[in-house]
Amino acid sequence: MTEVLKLLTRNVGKPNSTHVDAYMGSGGYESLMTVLHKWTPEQTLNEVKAANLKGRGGAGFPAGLKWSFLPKGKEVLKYLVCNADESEPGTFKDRLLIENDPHSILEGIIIAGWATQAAGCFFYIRGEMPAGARIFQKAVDQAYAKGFLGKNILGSGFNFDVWVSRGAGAYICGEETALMDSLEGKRGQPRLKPPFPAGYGVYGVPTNINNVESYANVPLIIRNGAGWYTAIGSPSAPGTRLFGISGHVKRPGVFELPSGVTLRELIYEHAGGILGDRPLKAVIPGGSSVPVLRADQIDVTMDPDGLKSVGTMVGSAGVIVMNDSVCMVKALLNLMEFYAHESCGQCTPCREGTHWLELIVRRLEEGGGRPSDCDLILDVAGNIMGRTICPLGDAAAMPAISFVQQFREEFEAHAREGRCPMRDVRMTAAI
Amino acid sequence: MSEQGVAELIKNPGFLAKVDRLVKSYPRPQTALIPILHLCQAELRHVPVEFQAFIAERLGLTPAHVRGVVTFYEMFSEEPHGRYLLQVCKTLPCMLTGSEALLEHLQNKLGIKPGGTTQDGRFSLITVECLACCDGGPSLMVNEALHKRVSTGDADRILSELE
Ligand SMILES: Cc1cc2nc3c(=O)[nH]c(=O)nc-3n(C[C@H](O)[C@H](O)[C@H](O)COP(=O)(O)O)c2cc1C
Ligand code: SF4
Ligand code: FES
Repeated sequence: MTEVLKLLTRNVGKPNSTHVDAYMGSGGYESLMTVLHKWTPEQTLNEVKAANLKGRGGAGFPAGLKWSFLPKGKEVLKYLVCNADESEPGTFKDRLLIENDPHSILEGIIIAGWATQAAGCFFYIRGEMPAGARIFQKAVDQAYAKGFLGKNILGSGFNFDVWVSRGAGAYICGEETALMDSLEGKRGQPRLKPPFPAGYGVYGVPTNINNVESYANVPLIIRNGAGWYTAIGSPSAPGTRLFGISGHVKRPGVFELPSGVTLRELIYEHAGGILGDRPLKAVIPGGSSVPVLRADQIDVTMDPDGLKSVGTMVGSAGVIVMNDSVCMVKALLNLMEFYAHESCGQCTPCREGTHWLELIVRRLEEGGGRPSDCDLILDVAGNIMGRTICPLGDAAAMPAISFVQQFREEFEAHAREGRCPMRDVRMTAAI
Repeated sequence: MSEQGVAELIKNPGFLAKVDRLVKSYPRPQTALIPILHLCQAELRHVPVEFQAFIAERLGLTPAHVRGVVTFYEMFSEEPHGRYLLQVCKTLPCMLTGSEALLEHLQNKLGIKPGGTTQDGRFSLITVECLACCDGGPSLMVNEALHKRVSTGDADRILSELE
């Protein structure tokens, strides 16, 4: 069995793990000292680039490359954003870091600030994590007290601030430009790109945004070097990943593993196998927005190449497992309700399309489905794909298309029988 | 009652000091809008239009802008909810682990539907989207406290421990 690694999770479960003294006691902030005292911003950026750190928020864009898009020099006002909105259904890994090891995130943010010569970072945390917001704010206060934030950090001449801001319940505010509008005290509606955040971000100032887990990797890369980092996991996505596994498994939770672990191993070894000892039916491998897999497709590595070979994506690495007690139409209905509810409404294909998808899937599940509904779902979803301002439209369309393609017979049976064929099956519960 | 609450709140020196501190703590004052709305929601259990007008003036925004923001975000409401806001996560991972039974139990126990408030004003029940603790499904948030793996028995116990 692939061994669980304790890199990002090294401090989870340790006493007082959120306190700066405990963090420093195990080498914390040494990477920051190294870059501030010994490395130029360019060297720092190049090390992260060489490590090929892929963004952990969903899209997997290389972090170092993204940093390099910002205008250079400290004369140019620039901001960073840390995306702690964590709202993708099935995703709960950032919470683990925020609540257990806020300083590892903060250290990564400050190093990124040095590499890009930014003025400060907005830490945008979802409103439903009040405890996490308090923990992170406390960590920020401690870092100011130790001189890791503020003016002339550790005598380096570098100034950097961190501002904690809370969301207020809107999935769409996890999308980077909606998040920026939210930070400006507005409704969170995605902006048309270009301009990209690197040129026009928060308040119109050039901005770089990364996910919590992305920043948390940075101190490890600085401490151990890009060569060490790229030797872990798959070459296409080096390092470990915080895989969150939920649904019908015996041991749901977050597992830190090299990116090349197989989905089968993750489900049957690490997560203890299927709840109720029933057959596996389906897995969504990367948060609710990615295409679903059937039980016979889990012998793949959990990296971009492996998942691409079965037509899906790593996304946010949130693995949702379903056993054979689940009706796939009902499962899709749940997701379609989510996307229809969370669509911000500015693009017609998304606003109307997500609503129609919910309606069609609902009528199938409730017994009023028509034989043509499978094709109708594919048609409506196909008309959303690629025709919207932000990727939420695609995020709703991809599950719809894949559920129908992978489980078409079950969808057709609903229409044929005029009812849910699984209505008498009791779904396995965890409690 | 709510009007009186607002009138008092926007004259309360302690509250105003908190508002000022938030306005000053960000590079630009408008970033403080959502954090300030959170303060009001926590104090009054809603964000009444009187407060919207007050904060709009304070931050140099229009009341319509503030109202647009209040109505956009799920955590702000224009009507007060009960002393305890019961938030049942209904998204897929929690549905797979038992959220439907939990929601049904709470509905029957309290005699209200999602969106409703008990007559005595103690409990409001709502459904919410994924709370980022899917490994603890079914999850239930009561005001700011997150409860994991909540069976119907657990729910009874949690409610009985609230005054
Ligand atoms: C609808 C939608 C929701 C998103 N939610 C999140 C989120 O909760 N957390 C996150 O880090 N990224 C989220 N993203 C991705 C961000 O837009 C952005 O790509 C990411 O924060 C970049 O960080 P990374 O490069 O470190 O991954 C979301 C994207 C979309 C389209
Ligand atoms: S795709 Fe949907 S969520 Fe994204 S901007 Fe358009 S309407 Fe809003
Ligand atoms: S689905 Fe309920 S916490 Fe994620």
